[in-house]
Amino acid sequence: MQRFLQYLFDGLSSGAIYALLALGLVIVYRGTGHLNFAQGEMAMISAFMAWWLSSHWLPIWFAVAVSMVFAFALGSITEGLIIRPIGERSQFAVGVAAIGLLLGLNALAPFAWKVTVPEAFGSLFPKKDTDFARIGGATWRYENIGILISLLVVAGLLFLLFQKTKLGLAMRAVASNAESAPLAGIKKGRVLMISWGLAASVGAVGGGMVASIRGNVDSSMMLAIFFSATAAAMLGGFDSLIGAVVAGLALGVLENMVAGYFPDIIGQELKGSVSLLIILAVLLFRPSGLFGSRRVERV
Amino acid sequence: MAIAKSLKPVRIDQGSSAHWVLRVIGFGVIVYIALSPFFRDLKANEYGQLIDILVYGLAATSLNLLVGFTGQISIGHSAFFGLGAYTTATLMHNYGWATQWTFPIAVILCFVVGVLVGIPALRLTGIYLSLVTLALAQLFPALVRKFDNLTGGSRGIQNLRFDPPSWTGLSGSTVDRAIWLYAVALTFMVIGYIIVRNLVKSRVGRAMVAVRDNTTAAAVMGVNVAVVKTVTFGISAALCGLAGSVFVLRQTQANPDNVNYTILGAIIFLVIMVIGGTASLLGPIVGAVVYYRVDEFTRDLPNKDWLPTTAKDFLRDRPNLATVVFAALLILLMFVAPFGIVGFAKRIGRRFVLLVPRPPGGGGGQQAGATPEPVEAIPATPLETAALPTQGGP
Repeated sequence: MQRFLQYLFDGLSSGAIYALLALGLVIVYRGTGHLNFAQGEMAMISAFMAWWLSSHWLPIWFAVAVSMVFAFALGSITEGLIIRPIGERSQFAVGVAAIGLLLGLNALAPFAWKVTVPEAFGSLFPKKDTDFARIGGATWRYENIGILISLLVVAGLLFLLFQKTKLGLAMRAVASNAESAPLAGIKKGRVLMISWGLAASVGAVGGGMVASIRGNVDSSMMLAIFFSATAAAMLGGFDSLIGAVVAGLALGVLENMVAGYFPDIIGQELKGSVSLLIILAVLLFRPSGLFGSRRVERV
Repeated sequence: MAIAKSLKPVRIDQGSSAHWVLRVIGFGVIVYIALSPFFRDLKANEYGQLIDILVYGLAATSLNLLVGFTGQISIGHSAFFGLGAYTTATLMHNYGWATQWTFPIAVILCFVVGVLVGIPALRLTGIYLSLVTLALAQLFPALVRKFDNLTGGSRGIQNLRFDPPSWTGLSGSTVDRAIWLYAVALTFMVIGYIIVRNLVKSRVGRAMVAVRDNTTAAAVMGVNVAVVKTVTFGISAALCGLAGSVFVLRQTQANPDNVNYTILGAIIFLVIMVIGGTASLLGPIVGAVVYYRVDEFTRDLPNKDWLPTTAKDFLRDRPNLATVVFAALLILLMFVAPFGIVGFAKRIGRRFVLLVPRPPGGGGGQQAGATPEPVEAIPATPLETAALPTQGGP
């Protein structure tokens, strides 16, 4: 029982990070139907931004908040200047451009900040050795609790945004019918830019959390996490926000359980294989994911 | 430019003597470029760079068969590249195989794995397929680390030597080994090119393009979509594995940290292919050359005399300039020339020379009144025609 709880607690925090990135993926997918390959790298570069700000002037929480604003600008500019103009020509080219962004941003962060080794990043949550709650013999570290709470706050705010505001209504309208939404007076271009910005912003929270847990920032820090996040988004059914949260948490817990209970066969090294199996299983048995809406394709 | 526009392009019939002259000249230039390193007195590391270009060219060619002609997006070819590399390295190091016999094993193994991956990929299109292949790329280095009794884990496998056989007259010196490996890489590049070219220009190739442009219509026309997709996946994986085999010999060691075995490697192959020209036979090779030249140019950039000092100071000690430039180039290219450098060059070339294809059913010359279709056998790239099916449009 103690082991189970321990894996559960550890899994929930890595799952919360998957969920944050998956939320960003879902927001973008609902808006434009694209998989934003650069989602993880946008989060990475935002984390670099937060690191740079915090190492100069700002307290760490404030730095992460500023990095969210930066990410919002980055996301919306990307949509407006790159994704949309290319999308008008060809959808394949959008995919290629997004992959190019992945590569470019991954290289840009070390280039822009002139770093070659991981740089120390302060902690967002109490991180001393004694900072944990003991439940059923298992330790639940305060930083893991903090990350989970952050996810719930972000998800709650997103829920309010989508359900209770006019902007959210416009975003839902574009998601459900991109052609008709402009006819109802919705500025589709602006909504899409905001969607991308919002997605990058949510990702930036995830980036900050990852940097905080690792204790440093590094250009490769989001690659594996992005991959798990796509698996989570897929499991949740690419167009469902609640699905992204539930699937992200579930995937994180599952990965930790499998790695923990089968240390010899799977272990920490092959944790990622869980995501691969999940992706394959979802594709074979339920292509629309757990919460997604079924797509009907006309020929 | 105005003159160029007012000039009518020269028309050349396909199969005419003028066409043959052009072909022979083009062929001669390529043969000269490919063979000249043998007669120039290059240093070992310069041969190494040429080998790298060929390796990247072959990997991108293999990807082109899959992405460019069949329309299946893979961001996981680094896994096949790594599988080929590790097959050669493991067989040589652990089992003492002669190097040349490891190539067929690598090819067969990658083909089988490629077909196996291609089977679930049958149900997938667009981003879903890219996710599965992404998973492969993510998993491969982890697998290498896990099975460390076979692969050496994070320590890797060192001291892989491929000595030239005695009939070549080359000694075992560093330069001679580099020349020999260049010859091997060139041979594989040529074989890979011929395989892809013959596939694409044949009935199979038309089936591939049909699958790419409209899978449903292709199935209705009697194309066995499942076979075409899985076998293409297998051949593509096999060629990529062969490139990996050569790469590991060039590196003389195998290490899971090498960028080409990770997801970034898969992306680099894809980018090279797209920059060169998707669905163009020469594109991947051109892309590999451009990739290497950009890399070289940007590495030297802080030492160039013509650059102002402030720019030099800015660039000094900053890593990754090459990749940043390359990614920016890629995104820019998506705006101005989504069909890549070769596609762009073809477009320009058409202003001057128009190749008129032979009308079907024999008969040499051009039929009166028929609008010439000045194109390659394979028309438009997927960039111009196909949309990601996940868009779900009507």
